[in-house]
Amino acid sequence: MQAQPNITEVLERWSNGEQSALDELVPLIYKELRRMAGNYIRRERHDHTLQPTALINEVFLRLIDQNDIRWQNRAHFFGIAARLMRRILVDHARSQQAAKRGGGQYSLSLSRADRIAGRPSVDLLAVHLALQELEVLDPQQSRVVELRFFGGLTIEETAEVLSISHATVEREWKMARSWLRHELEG
Amino acid sequence: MTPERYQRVKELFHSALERTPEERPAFLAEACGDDTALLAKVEALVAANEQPGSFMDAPAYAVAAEMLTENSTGALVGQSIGHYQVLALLGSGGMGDVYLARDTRLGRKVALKLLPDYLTDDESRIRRFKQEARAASALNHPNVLTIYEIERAGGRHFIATEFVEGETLRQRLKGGRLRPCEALDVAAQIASALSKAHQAGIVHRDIKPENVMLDAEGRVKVLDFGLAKYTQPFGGGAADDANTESVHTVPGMLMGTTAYMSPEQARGVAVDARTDVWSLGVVLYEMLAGRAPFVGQTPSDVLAAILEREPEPLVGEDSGAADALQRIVRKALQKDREKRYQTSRDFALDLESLRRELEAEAGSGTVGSVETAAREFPAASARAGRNKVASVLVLGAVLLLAAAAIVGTWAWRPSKPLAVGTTLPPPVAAPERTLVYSILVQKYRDGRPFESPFRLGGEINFEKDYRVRLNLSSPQDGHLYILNEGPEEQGRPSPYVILFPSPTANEGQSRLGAGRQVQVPERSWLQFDAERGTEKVWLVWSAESVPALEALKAYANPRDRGLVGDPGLNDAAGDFLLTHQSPGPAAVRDEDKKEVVLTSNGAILTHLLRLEHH
Repeated sequence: MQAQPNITEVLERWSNGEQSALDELVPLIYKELRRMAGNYIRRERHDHTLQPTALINEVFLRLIDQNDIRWQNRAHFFGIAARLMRRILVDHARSQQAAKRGGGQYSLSLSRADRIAGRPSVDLLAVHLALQELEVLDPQQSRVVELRFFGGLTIEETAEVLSISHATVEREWKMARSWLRHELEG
Repeated sequence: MTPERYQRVKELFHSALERTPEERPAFLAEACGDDTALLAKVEALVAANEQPGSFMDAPAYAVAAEMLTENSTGALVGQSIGHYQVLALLGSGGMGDVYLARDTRLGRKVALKLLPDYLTDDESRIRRFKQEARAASALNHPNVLTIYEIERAGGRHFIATEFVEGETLRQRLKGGRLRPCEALDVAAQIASALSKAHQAGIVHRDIKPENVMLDAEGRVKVLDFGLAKYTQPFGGGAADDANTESVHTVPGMLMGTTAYMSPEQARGVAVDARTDVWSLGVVLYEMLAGRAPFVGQTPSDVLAAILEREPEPLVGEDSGAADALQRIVRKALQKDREKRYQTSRDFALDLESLRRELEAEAGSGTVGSVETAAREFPAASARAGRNKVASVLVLGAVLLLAAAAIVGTWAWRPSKPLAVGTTLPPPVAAPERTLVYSILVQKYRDGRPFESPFRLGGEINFEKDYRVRLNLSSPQDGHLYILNEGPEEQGRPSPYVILFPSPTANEGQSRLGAGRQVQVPERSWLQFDAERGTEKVWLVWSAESVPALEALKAYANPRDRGLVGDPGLNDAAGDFLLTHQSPGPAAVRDEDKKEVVLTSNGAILTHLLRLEHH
C-alpha cells in the first residue's frame, strides 16, 4: 500500500502537538489496522509463529514514509504509535460494548474468540480507565504499560524509548501490572 | 491514594518481593507500623503479583485482533445499504462478508457480498470487475449464480446476487464424501455451467468447493465466475492480463485455492477453458474420495504435487464403477492439457452418462431387508430430495426430526464407499457399538436462565439463547471422546476443541463403564456464539482407547480450554474422524425416554451431531 500524503501530513501535525489531528488520524489508520489484524489472526492460528513486534509498528511502516516525518527520535515515534493504538482499540472496544448484549466473559462457551485466543479476554476498556488513574499516580509506570501492552513493545524496546534501564522497566512493569490486576480483578 | 503514597507503596512492594515469602510478613509489619491500610495495599499487590494465570501477558492487539476483525463482520445487520435492507450475516469468506438482504425495490431476497476495502478506491479494477461480472451474469444458466448488480454505497462496493438457500460444497464435504451418483451429478452440473461459460469465452479460473453451492433440491450454483483475480489484493490490475495468473506466496491466503490450481496456473502461464476442466477434476476427486488429490504442508508443496505427482487411484468395492470413475478423473487430471477433456461439454457428457448407468444399476438392486434399511441407504438419485430418502428410513421407532441438516447427515452416506489407495476391509460383523445420548436445554433470556431446563431426544433448531448439555451413556464398556469442530478457514483444517474427557468430567478419563452416565459439560453449559449456523459436535465411542484422541487430553485445561494447539495433533484428530465416518450409525429416537440410541457396526462408533441454531 502506498503512502498517502494526507496521513503523513496529519501525523506530522499530531507529532507537533496538534491534539485534534489525532481525531483525523484514527479512521485513516483504522482501516489498515483491521486488515493487518486479520492477517495477524491467520498467522497466529495457522502458523503458530507469533511475531512479537508491534502490530502498530507494521501498520505505521506500511503507511508512512519515515523520511518525510521529522520524528524527534525513535522514542517519539513509538510513543505516538502506542498512544494511537490505545486510542483505536479503546474506541473500538467502546463501540463493541455498545453493540453487544453482554454475556459472561468467563463462561465456558464455544466462542471462537475464547477458543482461538486461548485466554480469557482482558477488558481493554477497564485497563484503559485504570491506566488513566495510574497516570496520575505514577506517569512513568503508566507509560510503560502503554508502550508494552498497547504498543506491544518488548522490555528492551520500552527501555530504549523511555531512556531508562532494562531493570527499571521490569520493576515498573511488575508493579504496574500488579496494581492493574488488583484494580481489575480485585 | 496520592502520588506520594503510591511511591511509598512501590518501595515497599519491591522490598517485599526481594524477601522470601516467610520473611515478608514480619518485614511489612515493621515497615508499615500503624498504617494498616498501607500494609493491606502492599500485601494485596504482592498477592496480585504472585497470582497464577495470565494477565496482560500478551499485548492488547493479540486480544483485540479478534475483536477488531469481528466487528467488521455482521456490523451491517439491520442497516440499509443502497436500496437493500440487510437482514442477516450469512458468512464470511476469504473475499469478504456475505449478507442476506432484501431488495426494497423488488421485494426479493438477495445475497450481498461486500467487497474488500482496498478494492473500493481502485477505479480501473472495479471497472474490469464489473465488466466481467456482467458477462458472467449474461450467461443465464440454471447452474450459474445470477448477479443482479454491482454497486457502491456507504463507501463500499458490493455485489448483489441471487440468494441460494443451501450450503456450499465445502460445507457439504465436511459431512463426508459423496456417493458416486451424487458426486457425478454435482460435477455434471458444474460442467454444464462451465460449458456455457466457455462458449461465451469466459473462464472461471477458480473452481473449488467454496465456489459451488447446493440448494435444497440438490441443484448446483457456481459462484464467482472469473472474479477471483480481482479480489485478491495484488491481482487484477492492468498488469494482470486476462490470461495470466501469478502465484502468490502470502502464507495462508492462497492455500485454499492452490489445491485446485491446474499445472498451467501453477506455472503462471496463460490459461484457457481446460484449466477449469482440471479444477473440476480435482473437485470430483475430492467428492469421491473425501480428500483432495494434491496435498502438502505449504502452498509450495501442494504446487509441487500438482506438477509432479499423480494422485492416489480411486478404488472401491464395486470395481466396475470405480474403474469408470477413475478413467474420468484421470482424464480430467492430465497434466498435459492436450490430453485432458478438450471441452467441458465432453466432460459433462461422460459424467452424465456414467451417472445414468450407475443409477440404473442401483435401481435394479434390492433396497435391502427391513433390519438393514436403517443402516444402508438405497442408492436413490441425488435429485430425489432428502425428504424422500428420509421416509424410507422410518423404522418402527421414529427416526430423527426433519431438521434438514440432520436428515442430510443420514441421506448422503455412501452406500458403497470408495477408499483411496486400498479397498476398505469388510465391516467386522460381530462387534457393534451402542451409545445413548440426550440433550438438556436451558433457555436463557437477557443473560439469565429462563424456565427450567428440559430434555430432548434428538436435535431441534435451537435458538441462539439456548444453552445445551449432553448426557451420554452406553450399555457397553468403552472409551468416549467428544470434540467440537470449529469452522474451517481458507482451506486449512478445522480446529478442534476437546470437550470430553476433561478434568471436570470423568476425571479426565476417556474410559466409561457400562451404564455410567456422563454429562458434558459437567459444570456449565455450551453456548452458541454466532448468530446462526451449525455447531458440529463429534461423538466417538470406541471399544479401545484411540491414541490420536487421547493425545488431545493435554489441551483439556483452563488455559487452553480444550482448543488443540498443536497442528499435528489437530490434523491427526481430523483424519481420524474423517476415516472413521462409516455408513451409519443408525439413530433411533425414543420419545418416551427422550433420548437417541446410536448403533454402529465395528469397534468404533463415530457420530456427528449438528446443532443448528438461529
